Amino acid sequence: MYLSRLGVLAAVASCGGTCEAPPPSDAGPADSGPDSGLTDCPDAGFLGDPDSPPDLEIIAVQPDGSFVPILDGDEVGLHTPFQGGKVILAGALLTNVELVDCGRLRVGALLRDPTQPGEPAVYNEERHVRYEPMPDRPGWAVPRLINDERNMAPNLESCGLDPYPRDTDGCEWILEVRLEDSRTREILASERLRIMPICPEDDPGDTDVPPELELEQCTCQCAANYTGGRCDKADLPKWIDPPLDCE
Amino acid sequence: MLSATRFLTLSAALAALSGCPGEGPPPPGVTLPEPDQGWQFEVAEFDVPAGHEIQNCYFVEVPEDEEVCVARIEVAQEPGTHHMNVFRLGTQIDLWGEAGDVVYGDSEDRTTPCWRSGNWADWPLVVNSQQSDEGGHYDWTMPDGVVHHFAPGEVLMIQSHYVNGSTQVGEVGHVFVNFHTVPCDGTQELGTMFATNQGIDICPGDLGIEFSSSCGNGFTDPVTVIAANSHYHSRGRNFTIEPYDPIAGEYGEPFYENESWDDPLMATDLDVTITPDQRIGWHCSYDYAPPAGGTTCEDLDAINASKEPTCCYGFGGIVDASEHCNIFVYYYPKVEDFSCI
Repeated sequence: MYLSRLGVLAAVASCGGTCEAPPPSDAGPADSGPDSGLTDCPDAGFLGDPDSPPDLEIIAVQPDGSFVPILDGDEVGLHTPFQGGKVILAGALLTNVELVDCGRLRVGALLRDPTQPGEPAVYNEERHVRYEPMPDRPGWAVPRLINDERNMAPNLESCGLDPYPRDTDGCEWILEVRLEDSRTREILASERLRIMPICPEDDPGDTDVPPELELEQCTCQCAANYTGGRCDKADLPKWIDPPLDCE
Repeated sequence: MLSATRFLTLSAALAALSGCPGEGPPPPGVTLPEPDQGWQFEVAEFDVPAGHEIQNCYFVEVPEDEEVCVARIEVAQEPGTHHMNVFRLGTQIDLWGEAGDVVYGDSEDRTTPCWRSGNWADWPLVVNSQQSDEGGHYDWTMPDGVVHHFAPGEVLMIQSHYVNGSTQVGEVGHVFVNFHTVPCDGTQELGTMFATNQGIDICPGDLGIEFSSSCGNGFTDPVTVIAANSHYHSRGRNFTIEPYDPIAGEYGEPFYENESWDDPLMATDLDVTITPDQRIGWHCSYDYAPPAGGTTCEDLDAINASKEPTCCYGFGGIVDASEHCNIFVYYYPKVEDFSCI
């Protein structure tokens, strides 16, 4: 049902047309060249039912650019992206949306703490993601793979230097994914699910430590109250994972 | 192995600046008188060859023998600077030094420790300046009673980045930083936030592409933001910083907005309250432009670790071949020095 990475690449290859650029800024960059602003990209128009509001289904993008749906209560892998850190690439399939501006739509992801009043977002990221029609699901749009998986979904940094007094790895959190208006940031559609972020046994993006230490590094970085230097390579073999702190 | 080289101590640097008797007057260039109360750091002149970017990390020592409070900071830089940041030291990874050491970084070798931001990811920010016009002179007096605290002999790191490339031209680097001290009685300590969004990627066809994030778990009491600055490269279109409401998941009205990438606004007249139930959010937007001035798509793809040729700009310090999305926020009273990297 869902596209593999190969399927996404095939879909990209079939794109045609030229997209409209958004209104120019009054203060454009000094080095904008004549080639900037135009590229081949889908001219897909409206996908879905124009009389229905936008809707989404939450997905987790994988390090290889494939993706899987996230269902309520699912475990979701924490991965090391190009830029480092530990992220959940939490994105969305979309319907009842119009693909203009090269299919660029603003998607946000928030990791909320269910133990606190109001379930505040502890981590969040919003970005423009380029969408294209989903070949095997009429009326739906799928993130387009450009360069690598980081461009397919918000990079929801879920551990690290903005410390929080609660474990990320192994605790239940609320994942919210949103479609927002690209210019006003108004929320057009959103969904929340209970998830459990999990450090994977094998993290292909983590080249900083030997494979046998990847899990230790992740659990160390994603335990409560992270401080810089806590997970140094030299110290990892001595890292003792404290009791799970989900309160 | 740390590639630090002993360089001039503060006193030696000052002696070098003053020149030797009989050698004639120093060459013209930026100068800054020393403060009446306080001290001055100087980064001695260095050449920036055409087509190169130089980013050096200088380790210096607070030349005081007791705790001091700084209420005013002046910076003067030779025109063409890309940035100058001063950090306290944090976790030692691959970048370190003792007072008087310098770790050199030429863009020809981006593996040197002064280029890799992960090496200073939790190093508390002291001050930053990107002012490249008017002699790069910048003079910031904090509100009454708000001060930076420094321990006697505390080691700081001054990072100076000059670019002599297609988007900026600085042939000589030269930096002065003055720390003006005041009595510590009755003062409140300044806190800082240095945060980046390193997941950015600006690809062909991207006009107005925007990335947003927030930082600041840990504001336990209300604080007041008094200054802010931003940093991105020449593809940057618009930068805003605003309060973020984690329960609504919404950004508030911007208290900082900047469209200039090479001489960004340092806002020093802010008076913005951030409550314990808020964080600080920021947005960076970009217009793609093809690489220029000898920089190629291959350069971009190499820096960006692209899995296939795409000519996208990823996060990185090389001005002509990568992008940034960084905020610098100054507030009081200090809770902690936030680093979201």
